[in-house]
Formats: sequence, C-alpha cells, structure tokens
Amino acid sequence: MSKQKDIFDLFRDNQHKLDETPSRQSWQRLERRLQKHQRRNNRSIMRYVMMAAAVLLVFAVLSALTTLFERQDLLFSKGYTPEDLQTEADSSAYQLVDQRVYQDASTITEGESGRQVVPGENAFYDNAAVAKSKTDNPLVEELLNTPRYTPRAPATSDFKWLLGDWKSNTERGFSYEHWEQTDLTELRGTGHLVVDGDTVFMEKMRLYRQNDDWFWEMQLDAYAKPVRYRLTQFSEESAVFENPNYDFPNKLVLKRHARGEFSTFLLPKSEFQLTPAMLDFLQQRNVVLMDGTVRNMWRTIPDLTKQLEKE
Amino acid sequence: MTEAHLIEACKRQEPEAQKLLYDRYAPTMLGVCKRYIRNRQDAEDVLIEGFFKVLTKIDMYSGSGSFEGWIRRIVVNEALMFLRKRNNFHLSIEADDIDLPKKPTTVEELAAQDILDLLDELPTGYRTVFNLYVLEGLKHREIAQELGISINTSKSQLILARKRMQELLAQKAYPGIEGRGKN
Repeated sequence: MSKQKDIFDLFRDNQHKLDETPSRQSWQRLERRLQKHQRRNNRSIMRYVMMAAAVLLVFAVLSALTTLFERQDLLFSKGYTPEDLQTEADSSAYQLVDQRVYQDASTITEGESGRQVVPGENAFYDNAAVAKSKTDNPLVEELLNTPRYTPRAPATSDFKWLLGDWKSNTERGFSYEHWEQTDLTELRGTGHLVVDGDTVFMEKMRLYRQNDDWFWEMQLDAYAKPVRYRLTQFSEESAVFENPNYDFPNKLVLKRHARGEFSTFLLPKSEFQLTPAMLDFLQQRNVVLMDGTVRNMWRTIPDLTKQLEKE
Repeated sequence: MTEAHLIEACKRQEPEAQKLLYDRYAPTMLGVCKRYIRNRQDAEDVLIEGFFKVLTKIDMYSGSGSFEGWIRRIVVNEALMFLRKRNNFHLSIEADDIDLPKKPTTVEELAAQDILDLLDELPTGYRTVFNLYVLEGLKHREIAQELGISINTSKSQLILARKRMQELLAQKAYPGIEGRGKN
C-alpha cells in the first residue's frame, strides 16, 4: 500500500516543480535598474561631498575674515591706519602683531620655586613617530606613495580580453602564455618557453583585485618571492601597474593592440642594472633592452577565431 | 564559489557576482512568485522587484540564518505587496464553523502544470493563505497580521482552500485520491 499523504504535504513535496529559469529580459531589466541605482548613489555621494566642501569653504572664509578683523583691531590699537595695511612695505606690521599675539598666548606664569619646566609631549610633531609609521609596512608606504590616476575602478570584465592562449615565436624558442579566470576578481596566467618540444622555463602571473585596488603579481627571478604592482592608470588599451619600492621594474605596462596582440613592458624608475638572476629569468620570455623589457604575444589561431566570431 | 564569497562580492556591488547570485536563486524564487501570482508576466515583475531589493539591501543580511530563506522572505513580501494593491483580503467570507477532516491521498506526484492549475482555481484569498501557511510555514496569527485579516478568516480560508483543492484534485482524476468525485 502506498504511503498516504495529506494534500498539503503533496504540495510541499512537489513545489520545486514550479522552479523555472526566468526570461532573459528579466535579468536585463534588473541589470538596468541596478546600474541606474548605482549611478544615483554615486551622484548622491558626490552631492554630499560637494555640500561638505561648500560648508568647509564658508567656514574657512569666515575664519579668515575673523582673523583679519582681529589683526586689524590690534594694528589700529597700536596706531596703524587702514592705509598702512595696504602697503606691501608694512608687512612688518603684521609680523610685529603676530609676534605680540604669540607672546600673549604663550605667557608663562611662574610657579612655585623648585618646579622645573619640562618640554610637553606633542605627538603631532613627533617626527620620529611619523617616520616610523611610514616605513614599518611596505604596503602602506606603497599605497601612500603611488599616485592614483585611475578615472574609474576597472571591473574583471575589463581584463577578460586577456583570457585564453597567446604565443610568440622568439629567438630562444616558442613562448606561450595562458590566462584563465580563477575567481570573480582574479585572473591567473602561466608563461612557458618551449625549446624543441621541451618546456625549459615556466612563470606564473596573477591579476587580482584586493579591496579597491587591482594588482599584478609576478616573479622577477627564479628564487625570489613574487612581487606585486598596483594598478595606477587604466584605459581600454592599456593598464599601468606600479610599485615604488622597486627601481626595476618600477612599472609594468600592459598594452593591448589591435585584434589579437598585446605587449608587456617592464620599465625602470631611472637607470637600472639587472642582477644576474633577474637577467636570467626575465630574458627567457622578454626582450631586454636598454630602457626596459618588452614581450609581444599573439593570439593562437583557435582563440583568435573565437574572438573574431564574437566581434 | 561559496555562498559567503558570493555574498561578500555582492556587498561590493560587483556586477558579475550579482548575476551569479541571480542565476543561482532566481529559478526557485520565480517558482515562489508563480505560486502567489497568476499572471506569468506579473510574477516576473515581482521577481525583478524582489531581486532588486535583495541586491541593493544585501548589507542588511546579517549572516545568521539561511541566505536563501532571507531572499525568499523578501520575494514573498514583494508578492504580498503586489497582491494587497489589487485585492482586499477583508472581503473574504469568514467561515468559523467549517471543520473538514483531512482527507489522505495516495497521490505522490503532482505535475508542475497541475500545481498551477489547482492554485489558479483558488480565489486569491484562499491561495495566499494556503501559500503562507503550507509553504512558508507561517502561523495563522502571523498570516492575519500580514494580510490585515482576522485569525478566524485565515483559518477558514485555509479550510476552504483544502476543500476546494481536494475537489479539484478528484476532478483531475488523480488515482488514489480518497473520496474521488465527491465533495
């Protein structure tokens, strides 16, 4: 005898049958609404920033005026006339007043005998502390020192053109590069140099986002840990990654050419010298020149065909 | 990608993650919408509205409790708001004295179309109470609050829904339904 069920149980057990993929238009409509919402959010953030800036400006103007009037009062009380204030030569009058104001503010009253004056602790001017906090963490320094030119934060989709297989026939052998997406905001690449059918060299690269920044991570020689470069400039054709802690490479430029070709440049800060280990590593797949290195890669035929079909 | 990673990425408003989240949960949630709303286009509208809220208010998800459950509550609320605009649940007849016995059925499977047909045959009041009680697991007190009706109305609508469904199921000639053709 089959198991007896109440009609409600029957519904509970079968409700998943109503699951159905919505139409494509549904996602497109939702996507448009989300984009609109994002734009509106950005605009309102800008509005708040501008309001805050306006308030600060008004405050700054008011305090500047107040200071000016206070100084004028003091000058007049010392017998200066408004005409004196307009002459450049009388800037000494301001200095005099400033000095008096300073003296008034810092009047020291004597305390009991036997008390000593000790210099107060002023954390703000503790240069040693400031310098220490800057150098303790190389990443902090890297983030502080690198100028940011990125007009907008690139999305993973902006780098998707890199995915797939690339090749280059160099003097040393066949150079291959393969890129794949390994996470929502991470692409990983491997480079090979193949000579007579044998892989004689391999390197790994990683392009990923952390918080609001994109990084390019690569090895510079076979024995050292990978180094990362932060994205500072970005456009559809090129991306510049920088790390001020390194003289070479100081910059990595990824340049996308017309269909099916891209270049990777490694550039120095100024003059540069390569360590033997670095030279050995970098010249495997790059052409080392006087002012940096360059590597050109072309789409492999199957990938190029796919790309052309899409376009 | 784990659910936690997906949520984090959606909190950062990453478009790829938003699409992934939609692809993962939209089919189930469309099923939910279809249970409440007759017209397919309206059901998709409610789905879009629900997911818009999910994706723009995802910061409010605390992480405790099932994420799918959280999405489902938002979508169900959206469906109820849609229904409230078009229906007055107060107008439903109260039927305190109805107390029908549960009729067991040996039917194990219902086809998707049959589920929809049965739901479509129910008046909106019955259908909504049925969905909230049977499929969302709400108590009559909660349903009454949600729809702005009395607890008795909620109870009686559920009883009437059961009765109507048993009749319809019998008409559909499902083998094994007890009291087939009667009621």
